[in-house]
Amino acid sequence: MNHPIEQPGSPAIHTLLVFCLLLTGLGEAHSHGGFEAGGDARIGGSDFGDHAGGGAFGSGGFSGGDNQRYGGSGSGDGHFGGGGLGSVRGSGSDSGVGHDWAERTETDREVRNDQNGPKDESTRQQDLHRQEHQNDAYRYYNQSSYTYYGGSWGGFYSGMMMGEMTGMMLGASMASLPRQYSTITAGGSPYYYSNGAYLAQQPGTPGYTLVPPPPGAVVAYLPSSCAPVYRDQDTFYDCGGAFYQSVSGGYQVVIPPSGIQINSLPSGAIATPVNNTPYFEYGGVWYQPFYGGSDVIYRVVDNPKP
Amino acid sequence: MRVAVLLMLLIGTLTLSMNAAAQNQKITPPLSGMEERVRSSLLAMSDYLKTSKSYSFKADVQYDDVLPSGQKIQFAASSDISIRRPNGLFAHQISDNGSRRLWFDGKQLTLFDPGNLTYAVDAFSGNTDKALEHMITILRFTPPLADFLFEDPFKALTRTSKHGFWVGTSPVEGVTCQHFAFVDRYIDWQIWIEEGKQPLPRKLLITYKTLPQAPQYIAILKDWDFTTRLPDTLFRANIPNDAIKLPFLKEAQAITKTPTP
Repeated sequence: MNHPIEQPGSPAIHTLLVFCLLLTGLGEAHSHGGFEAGGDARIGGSDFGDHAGGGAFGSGGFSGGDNQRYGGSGSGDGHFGGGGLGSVRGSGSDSGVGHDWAERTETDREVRNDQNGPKDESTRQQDLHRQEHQNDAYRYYNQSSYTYYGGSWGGFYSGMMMGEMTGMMLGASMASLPRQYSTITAGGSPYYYSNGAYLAQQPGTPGYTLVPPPPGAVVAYLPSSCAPVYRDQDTFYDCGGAFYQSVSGGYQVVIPPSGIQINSLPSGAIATPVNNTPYFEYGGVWYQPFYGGSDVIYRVVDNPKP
Repeated sequence: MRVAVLLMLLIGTLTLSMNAAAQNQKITPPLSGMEERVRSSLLAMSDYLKTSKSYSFKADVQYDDVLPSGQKIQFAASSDISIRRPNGLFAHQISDNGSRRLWFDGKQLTLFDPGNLTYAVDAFSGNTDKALEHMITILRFTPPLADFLFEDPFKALTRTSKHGFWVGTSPVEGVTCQHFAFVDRYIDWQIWIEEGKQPLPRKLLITYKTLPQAPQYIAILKDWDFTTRLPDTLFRANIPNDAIKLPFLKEAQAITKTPTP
């Protein structure tokens, strides 16, 4: 049986139909592409690298530094392959690559729908990339001393471009506020927020002092160097060891709940073994290193000290 | 003008024919299954490995990484893998991203990162097949080229394959091979199997088609050795005293809703 559109009434209609078809085709192609980019993109994530998704017997959370090279979100950021790198069986549907992807689908959608607006795949990759590479230079056990020293410009504010404040350390003070800041209140105290950094007036100290992000503070925009981390249905943003959650009106500084897992420690985290179990501590948050797949990941835990 | 109209008509007719062709194609059932030739070659390779209880091989590996910009970066690795059934497994991989060693001796699995001096141990009893499944599903990593370590590589390779076909004849490192291609759900993969009496896998290529930029993993398999006796000590973990032991985060723990401190 012939398709109806193969029986045009006249050459003129024929031509017209062709144009209509072409136009329709174009329209469809266009909207289709847009839809896919927004809604159906499937990721990989660093899941060949993310917690389990790791790639080779390769890169490691403990490592970084010299060993860690790029490690974006492709098949290889190195590790042995929680994502099934190098194995057909390991890439199957009920484990490995498919397994990881299925798990991530929901959170991907969440990220796209959050207040940052829709995220396309490249943005998502960048998120993961950031998570992977945040504080790269510092994220390894110093093998000789088993200590994890950050640089002088470490911790919450590492890697941020803070204009006039660049180069300042936690606890440092400045005579006047930066040109652009907003005043926020957390725990009844006023703070001055400027591009990820918090300043406060402290008794006995002239000027304004750079302080750790105060829990409860709500800011309109995330600092510039944050990576999303997921726990159950919740999305957190790890900004150099300061954690934020999306709330109405912006992002709120929160104390990260136990169970959150990150790929790299904030710079400045200190190795603090408790009863011969390795832990890291930074800004009052405790992290325990685990092998998640063939790579080391860090899980936020309750203070293990008795 | 006449020419233009004629041209328009021609384009129109072509478009409609193409449209009709597309319609017809849609009616054709999707390709599925495996050609007999593919099946028998894959089985021959699988059976060849199955007849040996103990073997080792090496692999030169190249794999893609994808930068956030979409740019691909190629990394390299070399793998050295030994298996002795029923329960001995050793894998050593050195890559541009670091190295790992893996031992299984029938009682415990040990994963070691010599560069960072960290390791993890998991008590697990069973044969190598069970240990491989345990790693993939519970410990969530896959030893490289694990497909050729399962007792039945055919089963491991084709478990979720939807379609397989013969591509042609192609030499790998000077060895004439039959080249096959498969479609899987999350990946596409290709295998080159040596022609003749010794149907060994000589090359494996995996395309991670669901990942952005579809990165690939390519392994040239070499130095197949079925004769050297593999000693017990090869499968026993050898960890330096100053290495730091970390726990494995197992699948069950990973999905725990409220983790216990």
